[in-house]
Amino acid sequence: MADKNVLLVEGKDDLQVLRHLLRHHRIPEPFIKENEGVDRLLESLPQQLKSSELERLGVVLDANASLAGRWESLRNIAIKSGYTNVPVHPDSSGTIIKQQDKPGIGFWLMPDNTIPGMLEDFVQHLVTENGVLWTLANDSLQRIPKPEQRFPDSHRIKAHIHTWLAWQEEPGTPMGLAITKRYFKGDAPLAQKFIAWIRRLFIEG
Amino acid sequence: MLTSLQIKNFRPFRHLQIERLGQINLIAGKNNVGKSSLLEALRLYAYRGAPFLLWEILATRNEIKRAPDASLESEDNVGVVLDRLFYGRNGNEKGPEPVQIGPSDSSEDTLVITREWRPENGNENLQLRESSRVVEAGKSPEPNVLSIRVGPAPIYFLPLDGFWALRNRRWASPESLPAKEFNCFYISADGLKKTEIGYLWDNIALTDLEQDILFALRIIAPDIERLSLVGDLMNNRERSAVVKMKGHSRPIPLNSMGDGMNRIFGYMLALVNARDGILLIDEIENGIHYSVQPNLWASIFNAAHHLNVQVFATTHSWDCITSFQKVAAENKEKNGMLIRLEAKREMTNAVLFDESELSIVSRDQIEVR
Repeated sequence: MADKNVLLVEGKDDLQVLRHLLRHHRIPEPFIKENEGVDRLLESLPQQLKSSELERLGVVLDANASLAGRWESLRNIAIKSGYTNVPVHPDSSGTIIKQQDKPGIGFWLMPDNTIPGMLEDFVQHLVTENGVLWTLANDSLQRIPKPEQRFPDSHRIKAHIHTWLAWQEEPGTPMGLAITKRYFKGDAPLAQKFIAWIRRLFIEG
Repeated sequence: MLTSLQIKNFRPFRHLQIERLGQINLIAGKNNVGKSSLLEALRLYAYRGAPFLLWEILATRNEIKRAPDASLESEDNVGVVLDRLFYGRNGNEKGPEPVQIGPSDSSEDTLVITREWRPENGNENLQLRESSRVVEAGKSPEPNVLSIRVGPAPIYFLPLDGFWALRNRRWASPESLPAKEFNCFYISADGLKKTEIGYLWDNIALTDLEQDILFALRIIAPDIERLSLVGDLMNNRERSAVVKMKGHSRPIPLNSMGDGMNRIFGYMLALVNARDGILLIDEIENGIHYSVQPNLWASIFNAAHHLNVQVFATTHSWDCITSFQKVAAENKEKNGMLIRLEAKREMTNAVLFDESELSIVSRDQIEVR
C-alpha cells in the first residue's frame, strides 16, 4: 500500500496528539507514521522521500535545545534529496517546499518553528484559559524536594502537563484524547497555525 | 563492472540516467516503464551493437518475423523496422536522435547507434564516407545506413539494403569489433530452453564451476549431493537435470524438488557462464514460489560476488522486492541495489536504494515498489 500523503512524527505521543488535533479540525488524515525517535526519523527521511506514489510529506520534529541545529540537518537532507529551493531559516508559519516532479515537503519544528522546545511546549498552548489548576500544578512541581525529583529539568514541561491532566475529569487521559475530550483547546491560536500549515501542505498544495 | 549508466533515445527512454549501480541490481517499476528495455540496452552495450542482436531484440518483441520476409529486402522497410529501436520511433525530418548507451561519466565507452537519414543533398554524409569502414567488405557506405560506434573507435556502417543478410552476424573478427565486447548472458522471462541448459552445462561440466552451482543449489536444497544432465531417447537434443540426494540411492529429477528448481538451476548455470561479465534476467520471479525467493537471492548474491558477475534482474513482484531488500541488507559487502524506474513526463527517472538504504527501508517498512 503506497500512501500519497504521509506525516512523519517522532513517537507515539506526537502521533496521538496530531491525530486528535486533525480530527478535531475534520482534516482528512494523511498516513501518520511514528519513528521511534528523532535519530531514526532523520535516518529514514531520505528513503521516505523516495517512496513510490508519495506526493506530499510532512515532518514534525521537536526543535529541542537547538532550533538552528535541527533545521540544518533537515535542510541538508532536503538538499541531498535534490531540492534546490530550501530556505536558510525555517518559516515561522511552518516551512513548505514545492518542486516540480518531486513530492512536496513540509517541516514543522515543535513548538512553533521559532523557539527551542518539544511537543509538550506546543500542547501547553492548548491549555484552557481557566488557569487555576495549571498554576497549582506548577506550584506542586516547585515543591518537589530536589533529591525527590526523578525527571530531568528539561522535561519539566512534560511533568507539568501530565500533572495537570491527572486532575481532569478522567485522570490519566493521554494528551491526544484530551483534545477530543476538550480538556485541551483544539482551536487555540497555535493549533490553528499548525492546522493552517497542514492544509497548505496536504489539501491546498 | 559498470558503475553508472546513461541511455539516450533508446525505446521508451528519451534520457535515463542511473548514477550508481550495484553488483546485484533489481529493477522495479510500473508496467511499460521500460524495465525490459533497460535489459535490452545493456545487452546492446555489452555486444557493442552487434547486428544479430538488433534483429534478435526486434524479433523478441514481435516487431519483425524470424522467418525470411520478402518485405525486408527493401531498405525502406528495413529502415522503418529499425526505427523502432529509437525513442519516439518516427523521429523528425532528420530522423531519430542517435541511441547512446554507456557509463554516465565516460563518452569513451559509450555505444552510439545513429540512423543516417537519406540526405537531401549528399554533402552531409561526405565526412562519414571518408572516415568509414564497412562491415561487408567491398561495399561502400550508402546514405541509408545504421552507423555504430563506441567512443573514439572507428565508425561502422551497416547498409540497410544488405541488413537482412547480417541478421546472424556477431562482430566477426577481433579487428572488426568496434571495441571489445564483454561476457554477457541474457535470460528471457520464459527462462532458459532445455537445449540452452544442455549447452551451458557442457561448458562447465567437470570443472570447478560445477561446485559453484552445487553450492548455490544447496542453499535452497541442502541435501543435494551431485547433479548431472541426462538425455531422453526420444529427443536427443534435450536433456534435463537429475540430482543425487543424501539418503536416496537413485537420482531424482531436479524439477520434482519443488517450485522452480529447474529455473533456479538455469540462473546458476547462466551465472557461472557469465563470469567476469554481466547477467541479465527478465522477470526473475517467474515460476519461483515466494517462499524460495530469499534463498534464491542469497544464492545469487553469493555466486555473483564469488564469480565477479554483475547481475541485472527485473521484477513485477512485491514479494521478490521484499526478499531482495532483506538479502541485500544482510549482505552489505555485496552491493545490492534496487532501481525503481519512474516515467516523469518525457523523462524516465531512476530512484536508487543501495544496500544500507535498503536496511532502513526494511526496518521502517517504506514502500519502494
